Amino acid sequence: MSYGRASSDDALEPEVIRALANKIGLDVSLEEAETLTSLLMDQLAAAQSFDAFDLQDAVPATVFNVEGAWHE
Amino acid sequence: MNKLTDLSLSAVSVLLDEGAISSVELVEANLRAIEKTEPVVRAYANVLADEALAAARTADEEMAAGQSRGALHGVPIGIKDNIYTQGIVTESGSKVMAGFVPDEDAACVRLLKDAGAIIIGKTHCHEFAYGVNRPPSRSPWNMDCYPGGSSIGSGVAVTSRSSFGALGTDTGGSIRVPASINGLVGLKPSYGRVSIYGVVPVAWSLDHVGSLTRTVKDSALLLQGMAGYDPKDPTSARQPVGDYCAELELGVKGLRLGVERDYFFYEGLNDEIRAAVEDVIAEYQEQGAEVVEVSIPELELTQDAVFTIVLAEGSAYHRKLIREHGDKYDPATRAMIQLGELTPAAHYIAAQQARSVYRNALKRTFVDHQLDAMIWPTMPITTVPLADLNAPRQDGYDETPVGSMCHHTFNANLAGLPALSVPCGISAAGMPFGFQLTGRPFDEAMLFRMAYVYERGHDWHTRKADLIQSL
Repeated sequence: MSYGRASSDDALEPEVIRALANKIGLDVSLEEAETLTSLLMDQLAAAQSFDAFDLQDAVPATVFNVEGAWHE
Repeated sequence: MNKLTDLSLSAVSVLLDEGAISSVELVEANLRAIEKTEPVVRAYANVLADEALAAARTADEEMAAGQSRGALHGVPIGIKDNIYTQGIVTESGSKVMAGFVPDEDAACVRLLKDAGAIIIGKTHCHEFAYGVNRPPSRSPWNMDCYPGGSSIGSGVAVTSRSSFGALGTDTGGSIRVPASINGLVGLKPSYGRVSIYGVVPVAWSLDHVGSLTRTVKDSALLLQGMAGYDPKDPTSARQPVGDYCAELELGVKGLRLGVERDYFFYEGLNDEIRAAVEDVIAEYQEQGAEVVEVSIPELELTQDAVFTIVLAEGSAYHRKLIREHGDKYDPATRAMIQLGELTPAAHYIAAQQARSVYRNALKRTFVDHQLDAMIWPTMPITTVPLADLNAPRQDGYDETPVGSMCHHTFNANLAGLPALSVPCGISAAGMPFGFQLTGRPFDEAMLFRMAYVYERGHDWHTRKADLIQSL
């Protein structure tokens, strides 16, 4: 499985990110959208690091189960 | 006798118990230190002089009447400003919370007050503890350098001798990073050990309350005062609370100490820190501990997993606030919150899967090798000038300093294990650094025991920044 590495050829457009952000109620200027787009590209690429390990059957850690995970 | 403010929390606790000093004297000594250092280092968002003096007078009266509440009775401490204090402005470093006055204490504050601790002030933090804006606090070790965050004021206050200890919060290293940078002991307890009720969240599943102190025993005493189950906190653990000072003197003979080198002793580790931490490991061996080399490839998952979880959970907390008060956030914090809303839900779940995989690998490592603790540097670098935080590292390694600072700390938040940073050196450039011990869940006593052995043989915890020495 791959999340699809972002490259300069398929870079996200700040106007698109701004429109998406505005659509969900976030007040984002075009200038902010440029920063946000860059951060989002990095974040989407970072998630690919998860692919280096087999997470397929891993049950997601729930928020409050540290105690149980170590004392089961 | 040394200046009162040079004494450790545990030392003044003994003097208070003996009646050799009063709580009012301690508060007045801290207030004098604050008067001298605050114009320069700015550790405090709010100094509570009148309230602290009043509480100290009450503490003195109680102790004079034979009603001692224990080791923390009458001892002044600072509280990070993202922790609720009843009737006292709590702003979490943000204009969004300007003027907010909680009508109750955070659980940890309530417990410490019940134990007799005196709140000397609220310490600065990065906005909502995100660690991306620039609070006013400055490093006593070098005014141009970053003093570490997000518990930035807590670290600076203890370093400046303007409090005997301070509470911080730690979501990815926010206690241990300033501890390492300032030459302090920093504790992130096990997840669920200290209630997070009344703490402004960054990310619920990673947030911890802990402390910054000058010594290991100080850290043990503060944890003793605030550990325990809290029905108001759904993340709180029911594990019994032990006596954290009881095992300090037991030594390390026969204990098994894990060392992982691929991740923690990577190419990005500064040479001075590498050498110092290798010396610490050798010293533990000489003292009778067995050093066990281990491998945990899953550590590579930890940075991206923590960052993804912080983005997603943090944005959930700020969902309403960012829409109603978006203009009041620092632009850097606002960008993180907006980024969290645009991060795919599937990535958050993948991060939680990564968390499971890492935690299981870590558990296997502890169990299979019968480890009592693991050791690594708290940070791979010393601190840098504020202007260089996001620039490429000057040694050419392909990370930014701010990225390197959390490289060795995120993993303990992800696993929920206790982690303790202990000072172990000062660089040629005059900047402190530390090593980190992590242990089995709820076994903070083991970390204190191991750290105490090292601390006893060195004087790093007594070193004082030149700036503070001169004031």
